[in-house]
Amino acid sequence: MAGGTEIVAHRSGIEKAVAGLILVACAFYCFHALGLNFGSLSNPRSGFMPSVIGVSATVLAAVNLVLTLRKHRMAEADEVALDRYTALNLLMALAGTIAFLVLLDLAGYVVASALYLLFLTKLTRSPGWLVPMAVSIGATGFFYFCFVMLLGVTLP
Amino acid sequence: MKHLMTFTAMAALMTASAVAQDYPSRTITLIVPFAAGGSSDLIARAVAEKAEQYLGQSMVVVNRPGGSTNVGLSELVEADPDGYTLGTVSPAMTQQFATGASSYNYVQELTAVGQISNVPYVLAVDANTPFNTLDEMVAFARDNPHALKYGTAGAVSATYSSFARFGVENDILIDPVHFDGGARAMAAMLGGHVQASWQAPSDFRANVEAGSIRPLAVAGESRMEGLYADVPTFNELGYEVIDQLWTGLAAPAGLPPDVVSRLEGALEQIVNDPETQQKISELGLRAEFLGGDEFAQKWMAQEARFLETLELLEAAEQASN
Amino acid sequence: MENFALLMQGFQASLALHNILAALAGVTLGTLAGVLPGIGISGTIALLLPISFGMEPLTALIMFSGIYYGAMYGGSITSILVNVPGEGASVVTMIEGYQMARRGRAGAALAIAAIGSFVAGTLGVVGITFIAPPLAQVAIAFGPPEYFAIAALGLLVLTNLSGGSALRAVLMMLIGLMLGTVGMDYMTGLVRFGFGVDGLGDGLDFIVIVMGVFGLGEVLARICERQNDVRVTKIKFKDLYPNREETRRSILPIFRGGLIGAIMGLIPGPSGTISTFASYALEKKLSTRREEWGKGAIEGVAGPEAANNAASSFTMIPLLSLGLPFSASAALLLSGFMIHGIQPGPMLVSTEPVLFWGLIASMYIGNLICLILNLPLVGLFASVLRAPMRYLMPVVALVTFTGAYVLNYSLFDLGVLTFFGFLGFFLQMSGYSLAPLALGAFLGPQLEQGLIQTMVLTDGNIWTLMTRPLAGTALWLGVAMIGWMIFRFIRQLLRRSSSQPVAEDV
Repeated sequence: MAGGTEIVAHRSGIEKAVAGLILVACAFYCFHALGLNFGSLSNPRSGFMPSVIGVSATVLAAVNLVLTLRKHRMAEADEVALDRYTALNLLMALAGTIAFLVLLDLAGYVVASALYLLFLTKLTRSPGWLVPMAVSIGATGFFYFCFVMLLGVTLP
Repeated sequence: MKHLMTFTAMAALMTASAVAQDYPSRTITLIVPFAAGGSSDLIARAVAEKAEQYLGQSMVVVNRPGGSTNVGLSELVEADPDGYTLGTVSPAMTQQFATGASSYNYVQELTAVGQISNVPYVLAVDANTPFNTLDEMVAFARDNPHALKYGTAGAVSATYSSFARFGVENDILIDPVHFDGGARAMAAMLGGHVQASWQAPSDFRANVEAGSIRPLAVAGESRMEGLYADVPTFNELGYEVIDQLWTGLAAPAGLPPDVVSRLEGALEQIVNDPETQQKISELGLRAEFLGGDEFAQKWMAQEARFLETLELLEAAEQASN
Repeated sequence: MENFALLMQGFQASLALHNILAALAGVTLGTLAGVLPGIGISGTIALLLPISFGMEPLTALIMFSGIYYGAMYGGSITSILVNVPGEGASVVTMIEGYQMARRGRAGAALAIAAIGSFVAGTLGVVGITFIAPPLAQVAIAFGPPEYFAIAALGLLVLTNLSGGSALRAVLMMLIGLMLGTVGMDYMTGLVRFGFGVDGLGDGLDFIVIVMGVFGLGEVLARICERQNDVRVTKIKFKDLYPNREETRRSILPIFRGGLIGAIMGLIPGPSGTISTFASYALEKKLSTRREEWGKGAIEGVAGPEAANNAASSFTMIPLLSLGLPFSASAALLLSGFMIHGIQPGPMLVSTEPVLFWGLIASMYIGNLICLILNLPLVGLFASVLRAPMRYLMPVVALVTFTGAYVLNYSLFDLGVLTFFGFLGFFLQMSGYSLAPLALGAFLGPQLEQGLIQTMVLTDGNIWTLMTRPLAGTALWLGVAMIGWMIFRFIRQLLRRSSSQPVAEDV
């Protein structure tokens, strides 16, 4: 639904990879689900639902993979994956987010959030330093005020 | 290295006794392992409100819900045993280690300060069932295996394990239907989907008053007062069942003895204060103080009983397969 | 008519100045808490419980009902503006609401949400006023078979309606169900799919999942765009409120949504959220402009918002008439009663008539204040979107992380959020719709619990289910739908392999 329409054009390599990964994930789940105690019909145990879901999901995921592969072979869809710019941005966002989570634990909410915001605003190519810094510090301060002062929540 | 260790140990001892002399000198944190608004939370707040008066320092309640009390309790275990971090405990603390839900055995890793409140569990049936006494229900269940179902508040709760043990000990086959919380179990009983339930008297209160639920037995040493005064105890009826829902205060292990006794003394005064008693009884519970030693014994007895229950239930399941 | 006289007395009691102030304070705080994702209704009420110790019971309850309605509305604000749902009930509002915002109709979406909430909320309270006791009997007549049947039918109907490939929708729904099974299974006490990770033992929080796949996923998609200096839209003042066309299109959905919410509200469980999904499905089915759906159809905001508010009014019925709280927020209201020594239940109307009717009156007042307070603020909220994307999106990311942390005070959840953010991004990009995933994760536990409870109750003879009037009808419908889906899917496959090589939707 939301988003992504702009990127759809160069998606095919990714689409196949995603379909494959879904199948792997479903099979992994299915394997573990079948290891749980199934119980009986009058006394179903914890493995009952997971087994049912796991098996049906694995079957559907396999069908989905086949159809996806076939679609690309037949439609000669463009095989471009993520373009360079997007992939780089995505990787940077991931690295920044992980750094943010680590910093949150070590340095606390205010410091970590301000730095994270600064990082993200620079990632979106905001010009200059003054405005990004003002936005980062301002927004962090605002949320800190709302959550901690007004609502009495404890943040790390 | 060895010297250093002795030195730190001594230093720790010295600071501990120094702490004890002017204890408490700052605000005490009281960890409640449930979300705000539950009966444990309200009890904790009733106690905290009186701390200033009887202890000379205020207490701040912090809620640490999650992981069926494990989030809050493990935070309590890991806190410094200086008397400035306390927590509320309930019977669930005696089961977490046995069921593998926690790597801490709270019974050993916490210091008991004292009990605040205590009520027996109650076995009740839907008023539309023909059972007027516990014997009638048991007799029916014996003649009609699997015909009766009881609603529980989840498999990890006394509302299941105690009822299941009652079934095993009396050779009746009555099936548990697990619900997500006591309210759902009760709704299922009022709607006639299950016939019986084992819950705290406070949870049954409104519907017992209205006559839509019929209590058959209370799992205490003696009868209750008030609404449940006419309900016999299991022991009176010849079934040996004691199952109580208590709430008390605990601290991390290694709390200096003089701090324990200071807290214990203050807690006794707080629990016996008429205002606290009033607040707790409004929750449908009963204030009942027990000292640290007795409270700790209660933990151990409860843990032993729970382990026994687990074995019994496991054996019964093996036998039925 | 006797009820009416009593209600008037209730109004008298609750219209005292300090009570009105309490309602205002409650709505304000509730809206704020709703706007900031994560805290939600239960969180706010929990925070205020200690303060309410000192108040009169009626004043405290009036404040709580203000929070209730305020937070419910506040949650839609964040969903519509920035695609971050703070609670289950706003997930559906978000689907069309956010698309409207992207088209520059944020103001209209916010205003319709407020009006729809008010109308349906008020109708819900009217329902409580006159027919609460018989409705309470209906509520308990619903048992595990009905919970199961409704969850199952809901999954089928909604997955079928989400558009795009049916196969992929069902697959996403199943993955959602899988996510719902992670963690402690309260029916056996076993931790499933925990893999020894402590944080997984508690299960994956549904809200964290949706915050990740929708909120964070959207932020990532925007950040990866080259032209991120565009503003969403320039909003002129006259565009802030719905135009005649939009208002006209919203009226019927509001009433239908209210009715759905009222019916679903009686069912124990998170009925508010289920009713929003149901209303969305119904409106989409009835709509004559299918092509607008998914691109900002106003019916998709009006109906679900109304359903949610009607449902939340109706969840008060089991609490007031039976003393049974069916939701977390109702449980907190219950403790709001209890700390003042009042036990809600069948006897409440006769033992505490002033309080009972005062509370009902306060629900009317809370609804009205919520509307009065929020309509003028629509412009203010909508102007948030004037901020350039490159600043707005990072801030949204921070709100999402903060909100997700506040939900359970768990850093682990933030890791989960990040994971689902990236997962959502890639799934969306590869043409999988995420609504069925959210729905599966949400309804999974309901479905499993209902099914297992039913099987124990019927001693494994699941066919007795089919003979119960409500559950049976729902399930037969479901069976028919599965048949139809399989038929359609096979027909599609046959047609494709024989002729057209290009397929839009797998």
